[in-house]
Parts: sequence; structure tokens; C-alpha cells
Amino acid sequence: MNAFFKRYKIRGIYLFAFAVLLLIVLMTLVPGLFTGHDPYELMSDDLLPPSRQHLLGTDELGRDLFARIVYGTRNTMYVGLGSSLLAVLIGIPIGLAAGYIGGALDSVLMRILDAFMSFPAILLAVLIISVTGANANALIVTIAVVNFPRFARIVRGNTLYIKRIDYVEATRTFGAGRTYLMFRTILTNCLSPIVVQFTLLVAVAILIEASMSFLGLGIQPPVPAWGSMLHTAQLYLRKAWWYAFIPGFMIFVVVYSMNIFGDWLRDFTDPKKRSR
Amino acid sequence: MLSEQSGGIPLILLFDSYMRYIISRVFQLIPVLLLATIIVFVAGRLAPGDPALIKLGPRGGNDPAALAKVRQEMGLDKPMVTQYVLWLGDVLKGDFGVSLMNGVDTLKIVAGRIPASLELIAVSILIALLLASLLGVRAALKPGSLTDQTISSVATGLVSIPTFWVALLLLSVLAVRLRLLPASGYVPLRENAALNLKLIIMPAVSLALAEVGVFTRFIRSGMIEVLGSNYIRTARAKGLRRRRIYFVHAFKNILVTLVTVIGLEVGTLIGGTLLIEQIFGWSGIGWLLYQSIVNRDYSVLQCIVFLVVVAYVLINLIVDIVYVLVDPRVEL
Repeated sequence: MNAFFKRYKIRGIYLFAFAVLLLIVLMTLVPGLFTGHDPYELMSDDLLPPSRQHLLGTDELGRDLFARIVYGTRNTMYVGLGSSLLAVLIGIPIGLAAGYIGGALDSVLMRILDAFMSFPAILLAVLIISVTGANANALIVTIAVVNFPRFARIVRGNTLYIKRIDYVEATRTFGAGRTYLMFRTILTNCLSPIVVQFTLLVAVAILIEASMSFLGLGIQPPVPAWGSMLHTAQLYLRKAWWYAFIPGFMIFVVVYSMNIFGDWLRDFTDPKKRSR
Repeated sequence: MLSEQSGGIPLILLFDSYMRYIISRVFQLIPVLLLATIIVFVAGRLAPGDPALIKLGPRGGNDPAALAKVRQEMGLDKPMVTQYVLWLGDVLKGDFGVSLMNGVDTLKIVAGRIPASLELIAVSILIALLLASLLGVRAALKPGSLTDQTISSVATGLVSIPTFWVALLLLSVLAVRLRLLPASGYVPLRENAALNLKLIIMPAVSLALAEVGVFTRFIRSGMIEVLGSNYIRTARAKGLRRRRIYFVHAFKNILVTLVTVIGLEVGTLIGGTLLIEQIFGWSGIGWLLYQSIVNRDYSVLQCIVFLVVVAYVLINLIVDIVYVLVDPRVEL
């Protein structure tokens, strides 16, 4: 067992992150496993403290908080994963084209990315949401637009490096076309930094989603989401501090685990750091 | 600094290459800023609500002739490109239109809120730097040790904390439960310094925490590199006191690059003010931005986003230029 941990560089903190992420996956896929309560049902008095019947108490409408936390996981992860996937899908072709084809195309694409990156993330998100209106799908597009430039830059950087390596030249001499070289030869060889960046991107996306929902510009009530729960909870700080504590704690733990997981992936996939 | 690093190269040539670098950086910025203004403009035009209708007021829609006239006056009947050029011309003259809420000149409203946010951001950076240099230097002393690993985990933790959650927790403990600090509000520093400082503690700490994480990681890796260099060994051999070596000799050398990181983080901090100022009623730019979103006051929203982008880009331009001037090792 120790050898296994050493081989995959698993420390205590990583085990914690894996456990949290496993729990999150379960809460996303089978929320019914965790709670018998309905997150929408107005079942008892409002703002009850945690008890045997309501593990985390109830919210301002008497809905079970634990159920809303559990069912909210899916909405938060939907936006977090969806927006990151979209950012990757936009970022990869742009990064590959800029890095591989280069020249004028590279300069033009880079200036466009610079323009997007000259907006602070939340400000750009707010600007876009003010046009599209606030809902989960608009939020996915918005966060993807906010995040794709950084991703495209990383793919470009890797492409610039990989395209000079001999096996790319060799593939070209075998008659491979530009598209094949870009999407098969180069892309498959920079997959590990892409995967690492993806996990870190999900962490950032969840934070942006929570911030937007907290501002009332994200997932709208009555749909449960951690950020919008905090938005409501700030009105009841005096009466029910746990109401504000719990959703924020969930965001923190998930983002932290995602970041730790990304760090582990980076260490694990980095051939320089791999010791057997 | 110029004379120290010039070595055998004639000063005039060195100066020439600096100027060329600065000019090329400025020229690179022009397309970026133009594209950014296009994004702001397009967002303003796509936003729900006809600007002419808004100008006419709620009953304007009843009179098509009047509506057409206002549209013409505002240039809304012209092609998009013409509209953009006209808008950009106005904006460059400082004319962002008037606020929907009270009809006051937009730029005036926004400018009045800038000092509050500047103070908040400056205090946050100070707090973050103070904590991060203690943590970062401490971690760098024994890389890989338990202390180092703990500090690294804490830094990752700080980066992962939602700032608005920290804000709510501070509010609920320090203001609601213990009543140590006033919950919210803003007073200009010149009017009542004591109250201003009391009010700024919670927002500044909430905003600073994530930055502590970012700066700590950076200071740690910078210090590890510097501590391995020859001049530190010399300083040790001379018998200088350890604290002096770490915080004077070594730290001085990462200050320059630290400024670059701060420049980049200003964007995150400005974004953070949107959440934090709203929670604490600290009526700066972020607070105003939130009000403008809630009230759909697009001219104010556009003006703030525009100014923030320009400020952010210029700050990083200046940081880059200073970096090249101060650090002789940077190749142009």
C-alpha cells in the first residue's frame, strides 16, 4: 500500500481531495442517496437550526438546507464543468492555429486574446450577463468566454514547443496534412498540460459561478445553487449564521480539492518530477 | 540604474533600445484597447432596452414620430460602425452620456467613487504583502519541510476561498456577534480618519486573503531561487544577521518581479470590489457597478468597465516598462 502511495505520489492532503471529489461526483449523479428530503418542498418553520430531522436546518422558506446543498451540487457542477469544457473547445483550435500556423494569424489571434484578458474576469462576466440575461446556460457561455483566452495561450505555448520536435517533422515528411499534424500529432502530445489546466479551470469556473449567483446574476431561485443560497443568507446573518456558513464552505472545499487535484496531476504527469 | 548596467555599451545605444521597446509596447496596446472598446460598445448596444425609448421615458413608445426623431438625434439610425466611431469619439472626450438614475454626467458620478476603491485596493495589497512575505520567506527557508508543505497548502486554501464568503463570516462574527466593528458604510478618510479605518478593516481583509495565497506562492519560489545564489552565501560568510539577509538582501531582489505580480492581480482586486463593496456598503467603484447592474444603468456600467480596462492595461504597461528599466538582466 505504501509503495502504491509513493508510486502515485499520494500524500494525506491528496487523499482528502480525492475523497471530496468522489463525494461531489456522487452528490451530482445520485443526490437521492444522501437525503430523502425534496429541495423544493416547503416543509417546516423557516430558519430552523440544525437538528436530527433537518441536518443543516431550514432556509427562509422552511426548505431543508441539506437537501438544497446536495441538489445544488449538480447545478454548480453543471456550470463549472460545462463552461470549462466549452472554454477548452474554443481554446484548443485557436491555440493550435496560432502556434502552428503562426505569422500574421498568430499576431491577430493573440491581440484578440489580449483584448479579452484586459477585462477583469468578473467584470467581463457581468458585461456579458447584462446582455444575455441571467440563467445557467448563459452563465456557461459567459464563463467560457472569460476563461478561453488563458487556455488558448497555454495550448499555443505548448504547440510552439512541440512543433519543433523531430517527430512532428518526421510525420510531415510522411505526407501528413496540416489538420492531421495539428489535431493528431501535436494535440495528443500536449494532452497532459491540457488536462491539468482543465482541472484548475473548473476550480476558477466554480468560483466565478458562485460569485455571479451571489450577485443575483447567476442561477436563479428557486433552483438551488450554492452561490445564490449565500445571496439570500446574507439577509439572515443575525438569525441563522449557519445558513451563510454552509454553502460557502461547500464552495471552498470543492474549489480547494479541485486545485489540490490539479497540483497532484501536474506533479504526476510531469516527467521531470516522476521518480520510480 | 542606467549607468550601472551599461558596462561597455554606450549609454545612448542602450537608451535607444529602451525607447524602441517602450514604443513597440505602446503600439501593441492600441489594437488591444480598440478591441476592448468594441466589446464594451457592442455589449451596450445588445443590452435589452432601446436607448431612445429609455431617453424618452416610459411613455415615449406611444409617439412613433418623436421616437424616430430621438433615434435620429442619437445617431441610432446610422450603421453600427458609424455609431461605434461616434461613440468612441464621445468617450475619448470624456462624454459617457448621463446616468439613467438621476441624469447626472456619468463620468462625474464614476470619478467621485474612485478614491474609495483606490484606498480599499491599496490597503488590501498592503495587508496581503505583509502576511505573504512572512509566510513566503518562512516556507522558502526549508523547501520541502513540513512547514513549507503546510504553508503551501494554506496558500492553495486561501486562493480557493470565495472572498464574499469570508466577508459574510467576518461580518457575522465581528460585527453582528461581537459588535467590535461597524457592519457597513463608507466615510472619506479626510472627513473622519478613525471611522474610515474602522470601516475598511473587514472589506480590506476579505479582499486581501486570496491575494495572500497568490503572493505567498510567488515569494516562496522567488526566495528559494535567490537564497541559493552566491551573494547570499557571501552575506552569510560575512556573518550578517540572518533576518537581515532574508528580509533586506534577498527580499530586495524579488521586489521587482513582485511588482509585476501585483500589477496582474490588480484586475482580480478590482473584480473583487464588485462583491466586497456591495456587502460592506463601501461606496466605491464596485458598489456603483453593482447599483448600475441592478438599475440597468448601462451608461454607468459601460463607463466603469471602460475605465477599469484602460487603467488595468496602463498599470501593466507601466509595470513592464519599470521592470525593464530596473532589472538589467531582462533582454529587449
